[in-house]
Amino acid sequence: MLKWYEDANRQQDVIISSRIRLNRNVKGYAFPEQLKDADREGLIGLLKGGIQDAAPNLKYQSLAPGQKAEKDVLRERRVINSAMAESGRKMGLFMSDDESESVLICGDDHIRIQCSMGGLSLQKLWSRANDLDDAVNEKFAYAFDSKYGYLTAFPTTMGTGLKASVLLHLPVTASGRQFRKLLEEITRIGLTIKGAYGEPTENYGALYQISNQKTLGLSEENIIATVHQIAGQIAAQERKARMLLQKEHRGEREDETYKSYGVLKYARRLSLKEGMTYLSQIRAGLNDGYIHMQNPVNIYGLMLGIQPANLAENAGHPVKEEELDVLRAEYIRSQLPDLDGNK
Amino acid sequence: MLCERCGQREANIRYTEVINGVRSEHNLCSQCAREMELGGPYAAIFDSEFPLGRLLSGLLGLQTEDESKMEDEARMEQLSCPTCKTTYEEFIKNSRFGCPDCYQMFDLLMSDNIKKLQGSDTHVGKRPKYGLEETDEKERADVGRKSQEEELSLLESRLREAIAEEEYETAAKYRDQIKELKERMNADA
Repeated sequence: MLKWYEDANRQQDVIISSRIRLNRNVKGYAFPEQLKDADREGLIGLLKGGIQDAAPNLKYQSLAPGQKAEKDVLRERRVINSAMAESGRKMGLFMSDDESESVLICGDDHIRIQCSMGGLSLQKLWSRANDLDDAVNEKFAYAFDSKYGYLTAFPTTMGTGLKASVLLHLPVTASGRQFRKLLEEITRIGLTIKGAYGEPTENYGALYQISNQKTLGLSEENIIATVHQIAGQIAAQERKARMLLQKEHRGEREDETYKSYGVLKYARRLSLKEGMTYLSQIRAGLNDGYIHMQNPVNIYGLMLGIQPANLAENAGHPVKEEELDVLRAEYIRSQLPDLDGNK
Repeated sequence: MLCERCGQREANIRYTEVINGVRSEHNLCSQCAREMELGGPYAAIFDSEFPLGRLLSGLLGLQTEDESKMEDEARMEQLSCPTCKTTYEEFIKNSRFGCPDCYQMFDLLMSDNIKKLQGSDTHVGKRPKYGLEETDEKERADVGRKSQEEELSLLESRLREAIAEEEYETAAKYRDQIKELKERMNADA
């Protein structure tokens, strides 16, 4: 079955995807970090049974501390965060075949519901997550306080326990002079924006995630509406900037796109940074109509595919650092469709 | 390498700044880095092993600046949740609750800081559809009763201290908190 991010019919728009996360805890238990191993084991078993009943479409897998490779794959696909991938505690994960819905058990909190899909679709995702939340709640009473709302392990998620985020592809905006100012503005309205891939000081592929920072004192609808609106505005700005470039610098943009295609289609070794940078160029080039391919392709799906743990999973064996670059180049060559010469 | 600012101490912090995609690197000693207040509130990063954790605790915690508060501070830090034994100090250090009862336990001590962090201290929005009973609130109150008494005595000692030091604004804050706590304890009883 195709993963949600492999759907090739999705256009290569500025807005890549949306995601809703809900953090919940079961009444009468300490938060996972504080639980003794035996108690955690018991709780995982209990939650496993209940959630399987509540969401029969999700498949269960156990995540043991030793399964670092599996957890890294999930981290790169944004199913779990890096703290969970590093964690030495046992966890459990329910996930749908297309990876669009998942429930993490005993991560930071007892239960973390996640729903993702392409495009700007927070409202739809919220209604889906909300239903799943009710179904799980029917099985387990939640730790809830009338003043502080849903009680979570971190004070940064208390209240609604909701994180709404949108993943944006901003190659032009992010390279502009105004970007830093934009980041400051966003913080001022209670949102946060950060690079989704790359190093702390360097972004790969111009993928940025915008999400709400505040979780207390605002309703879910309110939080979602704000993230939706601001993500929409930033995307509109990016599209407008690209239109201007199309008018004034069409030649350069076309050249960049084709050069990137050439490198990706023929290179024998590609570092992660190279792969992300050129795929980002192609993604923008496809969207803006500089380049046409014989078959539709989801470039974001390829960006996930070239992450180290995903490449290793694909290869089916542990991979050494230098071998990764070779595998990455092979993977892209095999996945990138040929150019459509008629257009 | 010597610090590029003072030119005296050994530089042990490499500070990379990226402005509009232009990267510049500075080598500083930790003292200069602190004095320059690089990144404002992020200054906590410079003396910590766990930057993010400390960053949050900076927001959440009560910084000990005043010697006279030390004793009181120590008492507060020893305050611990009866259910999971997480101490207030641990909560501040890790920016993390141990169990749902910690919320009740640290309620008054943290509520100002929660406001700072979240911009509000009261939940609005969804409530659980199932499993929410009125007796829950009462049970939680029982767990918290003993802690409330401890909190009350702490707040009262802070109030006395603030008055002694003629910090009337702070004193007024404690007075209000004490009033609120007493009202709540009466309502619970």
